[in-house]
Amino acid sequence: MSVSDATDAYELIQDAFNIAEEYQISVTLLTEKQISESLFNIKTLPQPKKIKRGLVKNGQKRYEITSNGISPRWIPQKGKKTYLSNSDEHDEYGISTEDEKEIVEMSEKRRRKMDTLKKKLPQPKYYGDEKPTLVFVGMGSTKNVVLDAMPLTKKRLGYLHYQYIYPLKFEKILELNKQGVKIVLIENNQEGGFGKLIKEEADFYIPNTLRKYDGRPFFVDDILEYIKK
Amino acid sequence: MKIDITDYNTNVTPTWCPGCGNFNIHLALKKALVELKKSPSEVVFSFDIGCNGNGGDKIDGFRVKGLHGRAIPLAVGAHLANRKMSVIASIGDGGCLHEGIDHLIHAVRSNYDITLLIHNNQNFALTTGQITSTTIEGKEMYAFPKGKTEGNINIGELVLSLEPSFYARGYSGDIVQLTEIIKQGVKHKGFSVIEIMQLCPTYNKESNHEFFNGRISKIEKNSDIKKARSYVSNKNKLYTGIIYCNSKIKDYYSKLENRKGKKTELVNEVRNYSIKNILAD
Repeated sequence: MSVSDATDAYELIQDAFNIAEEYQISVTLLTEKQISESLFNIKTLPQPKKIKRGLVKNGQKRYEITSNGISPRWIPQKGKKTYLSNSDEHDEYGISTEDEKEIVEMSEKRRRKMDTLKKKLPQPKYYGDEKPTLVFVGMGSTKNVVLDAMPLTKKRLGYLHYQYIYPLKFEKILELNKQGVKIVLIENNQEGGFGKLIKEEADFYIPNTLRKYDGRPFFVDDILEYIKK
Repeated sequence: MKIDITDYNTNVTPTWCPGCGNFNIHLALKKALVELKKSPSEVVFSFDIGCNGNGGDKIDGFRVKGLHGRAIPLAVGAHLANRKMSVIASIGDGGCLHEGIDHLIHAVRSNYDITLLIHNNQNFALTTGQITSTTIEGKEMYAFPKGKTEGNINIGELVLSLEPSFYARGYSGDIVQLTEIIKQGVKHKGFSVIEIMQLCPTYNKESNHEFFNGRISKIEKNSDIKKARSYVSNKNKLYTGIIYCNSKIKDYYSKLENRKGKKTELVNEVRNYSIKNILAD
């Protein structure tokens, strides 16, 4: 996950905890120096989200094979069924295994969990013109500069903003491409890692890129200059 | 309900080599917990990777088997979340003194109320006998056919230099004494470091039963730091027992101002907190 401003950070950190606990996975929330050292004026923060812990009171198989990939989780406490949280491949009780069938089943269960999560994640947020001719695709603080540049140009601009990076929802990018919109990947780095992820997940290569890697964040002028070309 | 030592057994067949010190260490650990009247669901064991880590399957309780050298942070987290659980971390000399040495140093300094069992067999045994910081200098090991290049770390000297609240040394060949040491360590309110000199008949043939029997000298509980340092630095004798105990050093949690007077445990306090006060000017 990736934050873009103060409100985003406040909301996404809550989602990060909920996802980590419900899906029993580690969640990485990306932030940037540009965001953490900027000042934002906000009227008020959104209401806190409901805490979701994905807990059951007690159980038998801590790593039970389930259809959605999520096994029942309970907190260690006196009187409850004990289990082993194992970094080694394991059976439904957490006990280490080298049995091919059990390994495949456990591995596929974890894969199903990511599919379940992907279905639950929201689509990327679209900002800007309803019938755009050029759409930037990006994540993090790039959102803020593109949105600031929009009222300063007569071009029909759009911005597709990714809060949830992985598992990646890429359908919207393919849809824009089908409509004949020029898609530009905007990244504040040299290698274009986000573009590589889109290629890997969607098998879609975005040839147009705006990259900046001089140790500075994007400025509004960078955007305006690019679209002038 | 009466707790029996068999309550701690699992139905997993051990994969340790015949004669491995881990058999006796597990026996002493189970015995100590039974004598302390603790049932498996009252104990959290954390393990890392290694021969000792493979013990995660072979003792009942709430168990976490994490990454190499990281048994201590897992134990610290479990302890801080719920102090009603007894938390025991098991780690080998390799993981403890290489990848995990920072965790050891800071856990001693922070004095969390957990127990650490360092299984010291003087080598990385699971990966077939590579050198660790406790392997004797010059000893020929895998990938070091001409002998170990660097010097050693003396675990006792290292721990005692950090002003610990508890440091003990036991021997896997002496279950009775080791049981007593583990009991004292679990009861001690603070970070109890227990170094266990462990037999490894496969990769450390020199440090065998005869070697230890000829050198071990048992001591009573000691609270004099100078004496303790002389015990661990002695080149001819291997002192076992509670080498140093200082109950005056408060454990980490007891020193937390914001936890004073709280009757609940953090694990039961997960709820929404308003950050309005932080934002108000």
